[in-house]
Amino acid sequence: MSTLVITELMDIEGIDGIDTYVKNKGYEGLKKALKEYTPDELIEYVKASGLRGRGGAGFPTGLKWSFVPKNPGKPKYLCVNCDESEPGTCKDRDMVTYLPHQLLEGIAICCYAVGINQAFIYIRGEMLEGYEILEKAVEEAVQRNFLGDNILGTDFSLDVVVHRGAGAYICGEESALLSSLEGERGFPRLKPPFPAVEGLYACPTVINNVETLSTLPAIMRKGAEWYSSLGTERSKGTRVLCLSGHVNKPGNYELELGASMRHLIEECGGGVMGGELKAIIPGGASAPMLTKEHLDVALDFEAIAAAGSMAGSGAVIVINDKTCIVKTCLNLDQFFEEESCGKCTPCREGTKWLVDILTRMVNGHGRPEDIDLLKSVCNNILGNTFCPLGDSATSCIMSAFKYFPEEFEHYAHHGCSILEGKKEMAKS
Amino acid sequence: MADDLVNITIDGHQMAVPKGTLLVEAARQIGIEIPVYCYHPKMKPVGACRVCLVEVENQRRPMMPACTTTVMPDMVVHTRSDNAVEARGAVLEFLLINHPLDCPVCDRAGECDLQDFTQKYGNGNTRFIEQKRHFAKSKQVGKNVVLDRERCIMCQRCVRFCEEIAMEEGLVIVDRGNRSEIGTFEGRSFDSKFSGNVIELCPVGALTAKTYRFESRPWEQQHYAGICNVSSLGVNITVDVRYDEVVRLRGRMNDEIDDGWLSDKCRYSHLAIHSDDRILSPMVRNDQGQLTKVSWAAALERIVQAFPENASQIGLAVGTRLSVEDGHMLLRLGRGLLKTPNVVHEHEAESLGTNTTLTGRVKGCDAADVILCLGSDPAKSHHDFELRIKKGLRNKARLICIGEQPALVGYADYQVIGVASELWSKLKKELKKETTEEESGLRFPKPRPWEAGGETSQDWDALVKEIRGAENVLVVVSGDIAGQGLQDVARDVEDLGWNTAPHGVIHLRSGVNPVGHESIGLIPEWDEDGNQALAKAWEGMNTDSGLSYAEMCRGKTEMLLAFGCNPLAQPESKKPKFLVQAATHPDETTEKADVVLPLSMWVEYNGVYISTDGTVQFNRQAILPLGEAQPAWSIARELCLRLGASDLPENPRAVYSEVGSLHAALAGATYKDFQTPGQYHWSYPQQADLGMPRPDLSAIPVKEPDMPMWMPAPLTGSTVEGAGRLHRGQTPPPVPGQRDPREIAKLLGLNHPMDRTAPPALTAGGAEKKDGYIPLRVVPSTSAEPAGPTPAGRHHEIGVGPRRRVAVPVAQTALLEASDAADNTTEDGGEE
Ligand SMILES: Cc1cc2nc3c(=O)[nH]c(=O)nc-3n(C[C@H](O)[C@H](O)[C@H](O)COP(=O)(O)O)c2cc1C
Ligand code: SF4
Ligand code: SF4
Ligand code: FES
Repeated sequence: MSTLVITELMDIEGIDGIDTYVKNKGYEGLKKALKEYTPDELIEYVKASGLRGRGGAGFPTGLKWSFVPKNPGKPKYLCVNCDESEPGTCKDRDMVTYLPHQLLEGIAICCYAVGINQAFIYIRGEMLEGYEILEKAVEEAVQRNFLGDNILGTDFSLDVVVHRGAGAYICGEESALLSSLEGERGFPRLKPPFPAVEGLYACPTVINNVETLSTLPAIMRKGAEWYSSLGTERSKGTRVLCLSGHVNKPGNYELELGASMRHLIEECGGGVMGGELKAIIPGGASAPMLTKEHLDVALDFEAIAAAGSMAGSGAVIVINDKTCIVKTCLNLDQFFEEESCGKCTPCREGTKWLVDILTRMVNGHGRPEDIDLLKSVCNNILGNTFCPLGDSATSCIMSAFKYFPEEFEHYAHHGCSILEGKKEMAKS
Repeated sequence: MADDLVNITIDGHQMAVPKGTLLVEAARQIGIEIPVYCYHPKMKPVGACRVCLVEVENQRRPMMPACTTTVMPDMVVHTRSDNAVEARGAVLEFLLINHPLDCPVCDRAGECDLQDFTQKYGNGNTRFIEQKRHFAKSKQVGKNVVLDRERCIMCQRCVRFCEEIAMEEGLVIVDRGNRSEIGTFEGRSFDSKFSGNVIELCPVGALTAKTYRFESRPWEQQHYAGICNVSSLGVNITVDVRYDEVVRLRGRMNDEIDDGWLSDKCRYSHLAIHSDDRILSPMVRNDQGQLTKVSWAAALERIVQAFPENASQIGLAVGTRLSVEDGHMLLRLGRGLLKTPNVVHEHEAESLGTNTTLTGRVKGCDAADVILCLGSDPAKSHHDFELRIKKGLRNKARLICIGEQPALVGYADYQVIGVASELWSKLKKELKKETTEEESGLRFPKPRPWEAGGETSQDWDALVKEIRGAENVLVVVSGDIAGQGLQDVARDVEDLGWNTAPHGVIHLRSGVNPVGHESIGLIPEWDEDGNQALAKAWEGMNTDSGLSYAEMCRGKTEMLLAFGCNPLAQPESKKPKFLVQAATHPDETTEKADVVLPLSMWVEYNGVYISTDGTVQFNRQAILPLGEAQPAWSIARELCLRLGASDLPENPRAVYSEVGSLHAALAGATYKDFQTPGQYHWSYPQQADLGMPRPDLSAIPVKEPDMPMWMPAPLTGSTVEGAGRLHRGQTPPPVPGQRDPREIAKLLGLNHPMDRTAPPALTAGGAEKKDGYIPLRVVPSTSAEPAGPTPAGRHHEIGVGPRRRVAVPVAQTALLEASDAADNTTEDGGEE
């Protein structure tokens, strides 16, 4: 059994209430941070822990904080990214519903380190329950002076506002999140300037994922050294993996980084359901697929990248051999087509085109030339878009072409899935 | 200096450009075209369309948008590498898959960036067999703006114009992703004062003008550089003419004045030219009191007979829409020949006299710290200036509105309601006190009123502090400032030390050309010392002070000649015994006038206009005078002839040279000031101060030819293929890697339409056109010409349905050619 860092307290009855949380060493981390560290020391401390962002890109958290100017002459902000919309990802939701105070404590630690007095939690609009729990938790924390003015008798004050999104995946992208929070259209913004310098309302802004911040209290309590002893050389600590798809026991599992995919699927998930393993998407819908060959790949940032995919949001989707890969691609790309913000041409037009072609193929009207066309359209999107969403739309198709080219060929030549066997083409 | 330069390599060319330069601009400097859609030099880059992708070496993502990427030291950029060509082709393909095949019926065809770039960089075939996206066709989004959502390429230029430049609610993007469409907020109509600009900005035919839809194609048009005849700002325009009809007006980038934008008031002012009620022939009131058409000779005769014995009983009122030349010839008629002292322009009451120096300029808004609207409301009176103020606000200026509640108040940082002159004296006094140190330092950022959450402050002390901390102050006054008790504002501003151009006082004048008319003396007081050359040339001229315009309107003279103005619309006006009006459209004065003369509008003749901040500009004739209309200078000349004068200048060019030789204010001025060979831009900023416009001929900047706004620079857009954008005789610039279309034509054994080494020979007058002159149409006049429809005749055959305009006899077309040819030669004594 792996060490639990983030979900350690999750099973305790009533842990979403402040009393239970405080009884279980809650807000100890914050007290320690306020008492024993100056903000600069705290940033160094988090750097030393080796914590990396859990929102997708895996950027070192301490380093990100250190980019924020010390005395910019204007306010600084923290935006907590709780827009969790990546298909397959469901960890932030649990962290917010079960351990809201752990998140708030993490927020307070971060804000103290960076010198922020105003934090926003941007929560996905559909997570109404989480929103209500957070609102209540903020109220409780203010009453107990863990938030609010002069926290615990220091001169550090912090106000936390919970803001609900309106249902757009792109608003999880950090700059689009800022636009949305400011009341503008959810379009990603040009970088540079980077949010650390010019973010929300053109002021220095830190944007962190819920899981990233929820890890901080434990790091404070148990020490950076302890945390960095977990995990691998470059991917420290643990992370919550969201296992879904054709497994017997889907769910959120906290594992030390470096645990293998086999461990997750077979030990934790109870093995593949309804057939043999065919493909694994290791990091949310944006990540390229891997196959059963990759079962022994470790689930850390570097190992997955080396295998040709990405750790992304930590959503592991298991696909069994009764599943048509072309239809899987269609399903995934329908998501990206729906969620494309429409700002840039390749993504706006390209995702629609991909969906159109795949739909036509799945409906039995594929043509041999569609194979090259699909590849070429993917190529034309890849690397040409404004933000990474467009690129993401191509990763499933590109990887499917790599591992399962025959499935596309079959649709193109026979008008049906390879799983349905060779049928005569319906067309005359 | 060298620190600010960055060395980069574009397509193998090494160059050093200032830090912060965008790649598109750097490439343009050395003549390399990078296509753009969403980029526009006057708006913030967004990097949305991706057509400008270029390859940059040693980057994590090598394909970078040239419109958002600034130069970095030792950057190596490829605009024509395989990757760059592929990416550009890809973006064009993406834009086209859902684009309708509308070109044959689209207004934009021929000047469309999507057409042009596709021709140059597109793939040439389609791989798209799915259903195209469909929207209901034309949708009227505003009074005059029609949207075709299928044609839209989502470059957001229109949306950004509304948000960034006009700073108001207008067009927005509705829905997202592939379903995005341009629209308005529910239940709102897009009726901005500046709505027409989005039509011009749209790189494709998605936004069109109701007045222009299906009216004309770019390749049938000729483009003329004009000056707006609606306000005194001197906004530069392009007049687009199809045969003999002005079909639209567009902006013409002049950074000193308009930044290329045009308010709707100006943009649609051409509709009056061909309107049904134009006065097109001379008329005399008969015994029954009815106006009846007569010949020019009869009408003029009637006027000459009516001149009273006592010259001071004659008044000449001059409208400010008339040119400097018009004013000069009327002055000659009035003071010179009729010997009456009463020659004034209609807004002479606003004049501050020629001794006052005003240093404020339109472009002064850009770097101003404080813009102070003192009893003025540009949002109501000078729309184009409102846009410039907003530009200042975006830069750094604070807007302070003092006076009655003005419309711009939504943008004001401070507002004080009251009597402007009283508040000004109070302010003046407080400003003269010593400045304390804390006041002149840093200004804290606070939300601006026009940004969400900001509020207009009414705090007087804060306002005073704000002004004290400011270095550049632009004081905006308008109209009759003496009437507002602000006649001393110029001196006060001088006392306060704000009078360094382009800041200081800017006086927004009513009408169009009052400054021009004042500079040649169309005011009641006559400046004898300043006009000695004139007195010598016009022996016996009247140099007394005369009546004001208001007095003339009240019938103080027995006879009144009103040129391009409407005296009877003035309060307490009274018809004089004999009333003559030269007018373009009927009004109150026409109803009572004894003789009505048809007057040409500004596009019908060459003329010089001086803007409110003293910019001297040339307006090029674009069409023939309609019907029997004549410009005022020519009518005045005819009357002078009948009064026995001889040796009168024969065309505007000669009149203007006479202005230059006789008026101190414009000493030395000729049409040559406005001409640089090969260029079509005739504007130069005035060197001396307002009231004494005096061109410094050595400092005439060479401006680009009339540049359509959707083409940010000559090298972008369809400069090569779009015949509609080339002037006759102009050679398209070479584009690297682009085959010369004429070469292709030659290979195919065809005659390329642009392969004309010499401009077509003109028939009438025999003289060739000079470089820099856009020749008027060529009239086939000899039998050697193929028998075909003449331009005037063709009009009716090609046009759809009955047209509004009056057919112009061919003979007159030829005549104009002749006079125009003479125009060229008189002054220069031949061709260079
Ligand atoms: C299209 C797109 C969607 C994203 N969605 C999310 C999201 O739902 N939640 C999240 O935490 N990060 C998301 N991200 C990543 C964020 O941009 C950002 O990297 C992250 O919030 C940084 O936090 P971290 O440093 O704690 O990982 C998304 C990125 C992209 C490009
Ligand atoms: S790739 Fe472009 S269209 Fe797609 S979500 Fe990002 S910015 Fe929007
Ligand atoms: S309507 Fe025209 S200007 Fe507006 S986004 Fe579409 S293409 Fe661009
Ligand atoms: S992205 Fe550069 S011009 Fe549109």
